Amino acid sequence: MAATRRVLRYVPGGRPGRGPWVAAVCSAFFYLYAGVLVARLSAWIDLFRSPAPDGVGGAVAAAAGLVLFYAAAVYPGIVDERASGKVFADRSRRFRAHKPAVVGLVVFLFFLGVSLLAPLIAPYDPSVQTDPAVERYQSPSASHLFGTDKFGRDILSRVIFGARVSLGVGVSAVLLATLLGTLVGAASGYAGGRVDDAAMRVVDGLLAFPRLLLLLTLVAFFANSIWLVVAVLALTGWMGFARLIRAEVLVLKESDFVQAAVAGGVGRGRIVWRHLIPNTLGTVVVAATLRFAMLILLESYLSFLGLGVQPPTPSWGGMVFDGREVLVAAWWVSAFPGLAIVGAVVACNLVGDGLRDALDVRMG
Amino acid sequence: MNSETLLEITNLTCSFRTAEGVARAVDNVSFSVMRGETLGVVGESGCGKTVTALAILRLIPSPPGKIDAGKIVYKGTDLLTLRQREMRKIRGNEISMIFQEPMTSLNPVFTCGYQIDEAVILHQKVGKKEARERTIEMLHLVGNPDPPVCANSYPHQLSGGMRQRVMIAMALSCRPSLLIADEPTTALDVTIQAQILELLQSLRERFGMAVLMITHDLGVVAETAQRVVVMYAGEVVEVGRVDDVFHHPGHPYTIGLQESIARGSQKGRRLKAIPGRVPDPADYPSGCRFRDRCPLAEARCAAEVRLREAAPRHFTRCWKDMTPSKAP
Repeated sequence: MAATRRVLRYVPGGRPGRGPWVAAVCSAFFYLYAGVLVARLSAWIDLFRSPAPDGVGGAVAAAAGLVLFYAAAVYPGIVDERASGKVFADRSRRFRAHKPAVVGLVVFLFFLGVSLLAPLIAPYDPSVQTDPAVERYQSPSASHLFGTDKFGRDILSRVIFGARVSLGVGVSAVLLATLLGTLVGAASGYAGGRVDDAAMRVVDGLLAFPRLLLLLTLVAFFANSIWLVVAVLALTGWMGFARLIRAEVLVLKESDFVQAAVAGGVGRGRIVWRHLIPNTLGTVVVAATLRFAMLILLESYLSFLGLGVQPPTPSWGGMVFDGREVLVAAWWVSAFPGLAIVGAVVACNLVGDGLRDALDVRMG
Repeated sequence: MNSETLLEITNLTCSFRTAEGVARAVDNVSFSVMRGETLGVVGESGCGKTVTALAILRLIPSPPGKIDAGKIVYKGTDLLTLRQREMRKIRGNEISMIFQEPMTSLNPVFTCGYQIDEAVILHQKVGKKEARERTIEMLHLVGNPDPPVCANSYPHQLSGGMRQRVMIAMALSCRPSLLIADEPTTALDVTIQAQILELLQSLRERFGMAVLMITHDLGVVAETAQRVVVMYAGEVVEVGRVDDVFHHPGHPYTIGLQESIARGSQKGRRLKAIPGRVPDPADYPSGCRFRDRCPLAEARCAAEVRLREAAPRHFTRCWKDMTPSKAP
């Protein structure tokens, strides 16, 4: 299939002609990852819940997570890269010229790597409580770089594991929201007329609804689970995408190549799927990256309010909450998870800005 | 309708709803296309050429556009009565269309080869391998120097002329019986224009298809067409063989069009333009629609003027006799 070759040329660093074996190996990995991702979605999600994931399943799922990011962030580059190597090189150069974006990407990849490899790099078990009399509220030191909390747990280890919740919830929610928003937006924009009007009024209505309130209500009503948080975040977050994609589709559907396709006898579904959606991918990726940052923040709010992930599973928002009573005496309890939130959010936003410039996407 | 007729349009009327009222972009248009011939359709912008072409494929955007009346009979079936599903089988398969803008008529995110493959697979029910073979063959036929490379190129890597060749390859990949070419050379360099026209000619002969050549350029018609339809303000004002129409134009508008072509022989003289503008389609004048701009207009022109056979197989919508047309 065409997709194979697109990936092939990207993986060897955007430089064509590195030899077919590199390409073959890379594409094999891509499909392996993609397959695993589908097959092991549940295992991957389990990662966020249990601090110690089950051996193989966890590792496999971790790899799948990497692919997700790879596929989402790099796909538009791949498409054009196959064209000549020039376009991708050009976009890549434009991205790299945007220094803050490169810093953001490095920080983001660092966070991602940390979250995926948490069991390997965390110095302590994040949820095991030690002797409170000895270990409680220790300030940062060589043995506990970020100090300890009131149960004597290592803050560094908890921040590392907390990255799983924050990034995992963010990724899942943003993927669901993007998917839903893109489909609704594309269908609505292409159908036009009354269908479009109806869909957009629904979007308006949902946008008018106070999101946090809805979240709080739902989480309070139903059994608290990470899935509920993901679902609610996704279901309240797709409208922005829908509007964005609809606007894009409204322009694209008048374009000559769409008219040419219709004149060639291509059906409606295929027009949307093959001709409209692929041409909006740049916008989708940029919007998703920026939205991702927002979702990390939202998840932190929820955890801070005690409605996110339940203890003892560490989450950044929950940890900030834990430290609020001892902010003066033991600032490290809140400060480090707080810094992690800031770091991840800023990094995402920088990457989003860089991608926007590199892919030439106009955002509303 | 005899067996030589491929497409017969009868009393086609299309209108668009606009803020100013209902605009009749195409009004009672009738003409037919014979098998294997090139029929030129000429006229100024806004005279209804493109709308007629879109109507044949039922591509008029609706709303605001609408086909109000008429028949478009293709190989014995009225296209206007077909269901969407049946119509899709006609589009690109039986009747293909190429557009004015080769720069934007290809999807930028797929390779040219992929897009031609798609057309072939869609209509011919063949596998990917076979489709690709056909694609390479078509690219070769349209004069691409290196079809396999072109097939793997993205549209932005090709020049305008090469893109138009790819569009032609795509349009002809299913061997249609009728090709509608809507100003296929307007956006191209003059040198490329001639090449593309020549290419269309040779492919027409090779595949025995008919071509409906829509253009505002009389030169293009003279070079390619056997018969010509002159349209003005949504109406057909003159129909005939190219020789007859060019040498003995039967309508003042056709004469005006001819005179506004820059020619070497008229060097130093001022180029004649037709004064005034095409009337507003929402508010056509009564009688002859050209009379406001016509140098020969008289009071009688305000009455309805019908298309009449001024000479054998040469029709005009003017009651005056211009230079007498010799019978063929």
